[in-house]
Amino acid sequence: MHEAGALMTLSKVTKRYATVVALDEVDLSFSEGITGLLGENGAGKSTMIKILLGLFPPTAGSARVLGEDVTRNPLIRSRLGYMPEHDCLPLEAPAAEFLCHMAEVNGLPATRARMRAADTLRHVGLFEARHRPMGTYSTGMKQRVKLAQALVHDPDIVLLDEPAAGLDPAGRDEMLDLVRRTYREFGITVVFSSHLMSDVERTCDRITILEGGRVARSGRVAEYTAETRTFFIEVDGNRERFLSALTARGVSMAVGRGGVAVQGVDEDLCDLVRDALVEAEAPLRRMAPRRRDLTELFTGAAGDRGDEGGA
Amino acid sequence: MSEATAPKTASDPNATGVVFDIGYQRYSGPREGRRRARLAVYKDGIRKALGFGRSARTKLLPWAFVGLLVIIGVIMAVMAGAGQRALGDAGAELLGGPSHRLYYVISITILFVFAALVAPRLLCPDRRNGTLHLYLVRPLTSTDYVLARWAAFLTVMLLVAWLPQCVVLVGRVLGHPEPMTYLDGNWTDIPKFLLSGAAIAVVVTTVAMFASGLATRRGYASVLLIALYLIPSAVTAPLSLIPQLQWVSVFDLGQVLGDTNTLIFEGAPQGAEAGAQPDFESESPFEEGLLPARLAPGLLLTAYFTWLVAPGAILWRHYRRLTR
Repeated sequence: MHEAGALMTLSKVTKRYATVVALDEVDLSFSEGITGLLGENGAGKSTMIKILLGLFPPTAGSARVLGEDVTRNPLIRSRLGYMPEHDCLPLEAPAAEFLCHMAEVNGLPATRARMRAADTLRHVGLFEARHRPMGTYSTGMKQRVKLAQALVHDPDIVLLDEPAAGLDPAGRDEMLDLVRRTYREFGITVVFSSHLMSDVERTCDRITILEGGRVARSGRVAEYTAETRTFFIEVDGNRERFLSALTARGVSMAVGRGGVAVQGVDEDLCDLVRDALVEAEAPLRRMAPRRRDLTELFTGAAGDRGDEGGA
Repeated sequence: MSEATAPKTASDPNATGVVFDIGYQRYSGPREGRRRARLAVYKDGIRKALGFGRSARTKLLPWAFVGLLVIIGVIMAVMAGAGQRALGDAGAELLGGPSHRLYYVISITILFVFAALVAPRLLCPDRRNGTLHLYLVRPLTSTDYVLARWAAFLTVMLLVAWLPQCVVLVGRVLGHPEPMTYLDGNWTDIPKFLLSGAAIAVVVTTVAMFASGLATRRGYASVLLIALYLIPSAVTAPLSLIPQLQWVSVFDLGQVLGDTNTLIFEGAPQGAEAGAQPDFESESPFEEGLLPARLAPGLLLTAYFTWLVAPGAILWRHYRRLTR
């Protein structure tokens, strides 16, 4: 099942390594936007990305990128960018020289390549450090160079394999911000693999969950994090009196450490909550519809694999 | 991190010295495809081999070898010139003296050591650092990559092989009382030393790239190459003294290259067969004792092309398998 206008499609793709099946009859398409590939280690995320890049052909099925079979037409790779998870930088080279070289390898003339290298390093915040050997860079700086080399030739699509791996929280925020800007400001479609739910939730428009080489779920992040029929209420004091007042009014609820989740969304329920707050003299801190957490989706994916389709 | 991502504008007409940071831009210029990609990998290979754009320490090794080979060329040129002036035409011819052929006889081992130390720079770090994956996801196949790197190192080897020969030629020409007469009589030396240098460079490059392609560490590749050069030589040299076993010299890369050099300069030995004693006569007393029994031309050519094709094919196949 593929979306119309998909930029990349996998049709019944299987990839086997000796005794291991890395991908098992995967049918999937990727359209414009930021798509998160989520899965545990060994779920098949990196294999899927490498097949889309044409690094190796699938054992069965076909992969098409921008309408072309990427293993048969290497030129199409000039429209793709790739940021690998593993180390890939020649540490003795300065970032500016390396990016310029990578731009040329993508077919850009030498003078244009130099300009693009400088612009891209400015985009990722490494302009000042561009003439230093990359061996002197911090982990965060190296991750940014890896992103820069994926963008230097201005691809239509970038595939990022665990772009925030190994970064501290501040570095992770910066990297995810760069990933968001790459699509929102420049219109470059991003496919972004991660095993961290929070990264995908914060960054992506769509999500595909892989499990054991199969697509467990695929769809828009907003759909999965839609509002539930539950209100979450937090009070600043008189919590026990508030809970008693709710119980007295026959409100169905689940009490957690942070607050209380109240079943239902109708106006009558809101009136009951208001009355309970007044009776208990409990100052209201927050009352909002609770959204589903992607974690629930991920943990529930194994038992529900019927939702495969376009990402 | 977004040190300059917000574009500044010159909204104030009185503002001076405004820096326009237009940041990341979409690219709409030309894309020159695989031709540009191959050229970029080729140029990068030459830079890596000779240390251009790197520290002085990185440059030291290749340029020390270039310097050594040029010094050998200069010494041979001076000796040739001095002999010519001191002994005259007839005397110098009788004595022989340093020649273009002799230069390769002396320098083959040095060229091989140079290749063993420098060629791994072109392939090993890309595999060790993981940079190879970045090449292979660009409009470039593994064959393009390997061929571009091979061509880059061949260019360097040709430079290293031919440059000292040019010095020897200049020395011999200038050492002659009538340089134009010397050139007129010996101009065929030029295509011969070019051809012989190319023949040596092509095989040494291929074998060096083969060993470099198998190892991820430069040191391992260098050791493998030197072992490939020395061990067969040590085993085959005593065996080849037995006339019936002279053919084992085909495993000795040094001998194959040396005999190819001699074949190009002097032609085939009269009635040459595998196992026959050579009737080639040294042109110089400098070479006495340097000349082993020559391989018969047919066997030599077979050995030469096997040394060229087999490592090349294994290297190509090895890199093809990296994308499977």
